[in-house]
Amino acid sequence: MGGSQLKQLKAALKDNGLVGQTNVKRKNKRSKAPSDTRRNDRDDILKNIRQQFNQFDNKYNRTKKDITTVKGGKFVKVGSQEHYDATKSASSMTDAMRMQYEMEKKRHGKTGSLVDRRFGEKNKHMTAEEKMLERFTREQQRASRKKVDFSLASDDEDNFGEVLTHGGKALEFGDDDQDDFVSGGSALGSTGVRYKDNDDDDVESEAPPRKKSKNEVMKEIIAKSKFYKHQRQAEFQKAQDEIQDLDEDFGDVMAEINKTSVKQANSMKAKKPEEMMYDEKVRELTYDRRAVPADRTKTDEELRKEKEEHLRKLEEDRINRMNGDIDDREAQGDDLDDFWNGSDEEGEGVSVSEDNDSDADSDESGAFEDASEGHRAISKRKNNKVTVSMPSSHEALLNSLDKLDESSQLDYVNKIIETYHPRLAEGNKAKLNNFVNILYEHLLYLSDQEEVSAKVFDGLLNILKKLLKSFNEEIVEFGRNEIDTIQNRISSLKKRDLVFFATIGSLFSTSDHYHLIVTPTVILMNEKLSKFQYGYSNIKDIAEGVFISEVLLQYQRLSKRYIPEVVNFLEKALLMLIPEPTKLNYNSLSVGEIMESSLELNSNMTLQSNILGISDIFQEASDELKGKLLLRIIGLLDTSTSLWIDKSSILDIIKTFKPIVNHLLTYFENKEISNLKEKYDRVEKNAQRDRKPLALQHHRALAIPTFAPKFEENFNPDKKSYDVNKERQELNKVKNELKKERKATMKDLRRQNKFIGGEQIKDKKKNYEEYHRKMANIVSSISTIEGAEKNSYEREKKLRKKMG
Amino acid sequence: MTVKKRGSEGSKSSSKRQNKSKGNESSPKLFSLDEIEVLGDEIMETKKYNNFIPLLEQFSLIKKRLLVSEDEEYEKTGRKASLVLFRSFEALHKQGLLTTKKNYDENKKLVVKWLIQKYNQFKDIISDFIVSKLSYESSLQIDLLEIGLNLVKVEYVNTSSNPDNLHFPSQTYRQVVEAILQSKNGRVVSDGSSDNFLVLEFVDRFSKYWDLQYYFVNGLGDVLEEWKAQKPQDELRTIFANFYSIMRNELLFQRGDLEDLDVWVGRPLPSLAYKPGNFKSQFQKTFVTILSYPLTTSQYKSILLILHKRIIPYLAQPQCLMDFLTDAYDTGDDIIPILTLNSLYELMKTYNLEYPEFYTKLYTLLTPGLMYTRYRSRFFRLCDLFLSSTHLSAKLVASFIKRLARLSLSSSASGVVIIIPFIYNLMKRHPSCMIMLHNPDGAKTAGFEDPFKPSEQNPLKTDAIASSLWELETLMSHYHPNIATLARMFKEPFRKPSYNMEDFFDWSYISLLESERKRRFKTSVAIEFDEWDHLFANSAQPSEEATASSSYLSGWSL
Repeated sequence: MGGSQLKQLKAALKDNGLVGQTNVKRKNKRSKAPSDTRRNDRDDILKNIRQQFNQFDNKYNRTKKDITTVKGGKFVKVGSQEHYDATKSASSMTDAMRMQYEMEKKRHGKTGSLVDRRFGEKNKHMTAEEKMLERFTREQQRASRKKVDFSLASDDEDNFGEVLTHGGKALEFGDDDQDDFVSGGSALGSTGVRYKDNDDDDVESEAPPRKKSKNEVMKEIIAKSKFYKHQRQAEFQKAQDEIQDLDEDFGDVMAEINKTSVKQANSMKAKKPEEMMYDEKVRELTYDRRAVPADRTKTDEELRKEKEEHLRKLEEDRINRMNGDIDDREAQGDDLDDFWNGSDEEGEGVSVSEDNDSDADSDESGAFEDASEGHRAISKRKNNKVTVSMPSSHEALLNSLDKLDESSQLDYVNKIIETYHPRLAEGNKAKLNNFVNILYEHLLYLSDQEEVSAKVFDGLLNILKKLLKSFNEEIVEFGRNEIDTIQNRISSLKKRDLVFFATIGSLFSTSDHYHLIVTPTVILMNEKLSKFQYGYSNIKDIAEGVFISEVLLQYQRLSKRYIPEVVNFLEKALLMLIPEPTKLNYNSLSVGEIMESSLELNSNMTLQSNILGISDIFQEASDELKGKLLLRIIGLLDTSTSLWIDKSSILDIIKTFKPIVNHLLTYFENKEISNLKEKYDRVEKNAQRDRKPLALQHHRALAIPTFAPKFEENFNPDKKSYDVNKERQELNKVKNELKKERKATMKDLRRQNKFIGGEQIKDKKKNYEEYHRKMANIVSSISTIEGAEKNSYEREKKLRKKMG
Repeated sequence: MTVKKRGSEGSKSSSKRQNKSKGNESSPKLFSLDEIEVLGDEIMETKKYNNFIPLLEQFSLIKKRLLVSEDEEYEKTGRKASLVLFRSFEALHKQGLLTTKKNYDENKKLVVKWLIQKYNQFKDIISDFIVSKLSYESSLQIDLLEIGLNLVKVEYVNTSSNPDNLHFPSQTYRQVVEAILQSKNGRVVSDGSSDNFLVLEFVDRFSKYWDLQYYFVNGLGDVLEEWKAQKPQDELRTIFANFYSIMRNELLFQRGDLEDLDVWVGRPLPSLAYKPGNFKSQFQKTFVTILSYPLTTSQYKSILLILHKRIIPYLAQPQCLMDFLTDAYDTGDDIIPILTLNSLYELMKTYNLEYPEFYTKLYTLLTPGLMYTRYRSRFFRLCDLFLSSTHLSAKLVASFIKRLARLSLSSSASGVVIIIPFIYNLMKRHPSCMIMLHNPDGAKTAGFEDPFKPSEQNPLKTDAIASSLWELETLMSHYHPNIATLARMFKEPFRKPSYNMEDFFDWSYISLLESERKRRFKTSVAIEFDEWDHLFANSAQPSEEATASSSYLSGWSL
């Protein structure tokens, strides 16, 4: 490269395509103009050119050996330009940060903002004249304050010789004014003195009628405050003197009092009963609860709203539980596999949501709502001499209840619960825990009897339900034990077991996705249903099955879950009950081959709908019972159809039952059966119309992982992206830049923080050092003085000894 | 050894009661224990062989008594007498007096002949006691059974002095075996076997010694054939029950070298007993005969249960079971065909048996009852195997899938647990069946009707592939939370390669409850917030009042 600097510069600029013709076709395609590739590289290029022309600015460290280090996140050769750049930028950054830090440190604790104190600049209601006047006043005032601050001379000497001039001549205000101003000031000063001296308050009368200046006002205020301060001090002094006098006399006064105190005590004792009563009344009034304002009585509407809100919340919780939303344990597929291969050795109970829990707590207090008033009530009842004792076992309870008639049995139980309320005595909680079990046992025992009073039964169940809130665990454990017991006698159930199933449904929320006690109960009932064998079972089995199916469907009245066992059972049972089943020709869901059964109904009997008794199950089979059961099954079919109407296979289910129903209609004329047939027709028509093939697998397409690298035809290591889609490429570029920026910013921030932290520590260390040095200096200086003194003392001593 | 011990115990205890038995001798013919002892000693010492006659006569007396009622006295005497007789005959065997030899003179031959007659009489008595049912389970019968077996041993030991000319006393053993098979001491229990205590006693020995096993089947086939022609049905069933109880355990045959096995007689057997081919053909003959007996359903089931593992490997030509198996497979019963599958598969696999329209038959086995039987896991294990080929036509697999799904609508929970992953695996193996789960085009056609023909027997003609699995969608709301979640996997992407079916086969309500029981109480469980006035409807009150107040179960009263 030759020629002058200017020529060289021009050539360089042209080479890089920054000046001159830009759209010239290049011979060698390698060196593309920046405009072709990236326009914003322009600055970079210029910088490079500049660098080239200022070679002396560059610093090179020549190294003898080829060493590579990491600088600025890159491998660089030591001594190379890149190395230098990285080091330089790092050091310059540190310098900048230090400067910044120091500046901030200097400014720390000092506010540096500008406050606009100009007067009236923004006031629109002032005319220009007024503004000027006001400004002038201020100016004057400021000047006078300055004078007060610094001038030891008299007020007369204004402005320190600074005079407002105009055209070199001093500006003169009117003499009157001047005089007024000055004399007013002196007058004020004299009045201030007079205040102090005379304690007089004729200031107002004597005050000049003109407007006081700020100076005067201030002086006045100071004088006033000084005067009042003085007055206060005088008063205080006087009071102190009096107190001292009293203290001196105190001994005499006490002696006097001691003499008369005996008499005084006597008069205290002699309080009349009326007075006593009065005192009592007063005390009572003081502590009376009524004295506190009660909560406002809520209006009916508010109460209703509150109740609705509460119900809505309960319902919401219930729906959450039903969908299994709160239970993340079973929500995942992998967990599920664990369940089936039995890896969860120790299952865990399912937690109810937190707010539900707190809700239960609040309910707990609510359950004993009558407790607070019960407090009072109990003391009253104790007076009534009704004694109840906590039964230790079911027999004990039975013994004590046997003596009572039906109506007072419930009262008795209630009384036990009240008397042994956990708040009343320690250990009551444990006793009631036990009692809850006894109560449930008694309930089941009652149901096992021939004759049961529905009132007592329902009453006890209600009590139990109330207790359920506070004795949740005990009742649940009792139920779980009961399930175990029932499972052991699954092939011959008792009446109480059937009732147990029903009570669980009325006590617990059966719609939950998982429920610690409902789920096992449902499994147990289904186990019983699955034991039903077509062709080998008797009427008792059918009746039990019908009852269990009814309970199961009732459990699902809200969650509408599907129960295959019920379908299976109902079909089998129907096939056993209908007259001449072999005449049926259809495809059964549950039975392979239809046989004659020994239980089939007589075709000429009339069916009567009636309420079935559980005790009927355990009695001799009769035709009447069979008829009732048949109708009950028809009812269950009706219920189940309504329950599962949204299920996609309701059509298949109906198709199995429909021929049986048609078959039945040829034998019996019954409203329920024909209703069911109509319902079937209707539902079938709708379901047929809505039936569509499934499309369950609408999933996002998954990319197939490839392990062979993609071959790029125009591979170029400099090229960042091979995306064909321009827009996307741009977007990605911006995204990338943003990402880089963010990263860089984060890095910078971290670096700054680190630096500031380091500096602060340095400062602190410096401060400590200074302090310690200072202290050391002080200590040493003291010790030198001390030493000197000591020495002189010693010398003196010696001297005296010698003298002495 | 054991026999002697028992005998000595018996004599000890009986000597204590000696005085008593002397005092009240109920029958003049019944000997006291001492008298028997004396009679026995006389035989041994002074060769007073005539004593056999009164001793043998004792048994008819004892039997008469024991048939009616339990009597310790008689039992004791019987046990003593049998012991004494055993000892005497054992001694006679040692002296060689129970075999006619050429070097004996005429007189001695006569004696030997007479003694053999008495010996046979004793053996007859033994079989008689084993066969007949006494009024209670008498230890005399066990004693006699053991003596019978011991006689076999004694005979063999005394006759086989020459190793070149071994001769197993199969006649004696056969008599015992026949007696045991015909023994009426017991009932046929539900699994088709017998609870006969003598049989169980015999099985104890039988399972340990090779010679007992070999000579048990050796020639038994002919006897069974004979019985089949003669005996009434119920007796044949008893025989089968006894036979099954003996044979249901694994035989020693497969365990290593036959010559290393333990033998009851304590000496090497004739070489014939160590030839596997010989045993197999005898075994086969026996089995083919016994399988042709008129069997009860439970016996059918139980023999089928062990057939493929315990019997087919021991047969010379397992093909001979083909007829039996195909017959069993075609029976209308729900369960027997399922049980036949194992053996059929065994034959198809190893012996190239061809079964026409196998899949059609397999398809018809998918009945609603299947989901409630105990054997469902056994069936599905095999079914999994049969359907594992990826070369089956999609139509066929679709039929199986649809049928299973249909069954799941009325199936037990444990059945559903099997069906869901089973279908998943089938889908995974035959992705063309996914159309049954995901058919977005089908949803557009108006007036869609399910083309599936549930009553069609041929799986190739059911058109299941054009149908959809609505049943599985329904199962997504199954009452059991885990099953519902399991069913929901049909909505998820099919990422898992396959489910391990073993995890799903053996669930039952009991195991489901068991896993529930493991859960612990954590926080208070949710409570029903709906309220009812009554749990049940009140039957006593008129209906109008019942409608005014709500009740949980309105159709029922207490």
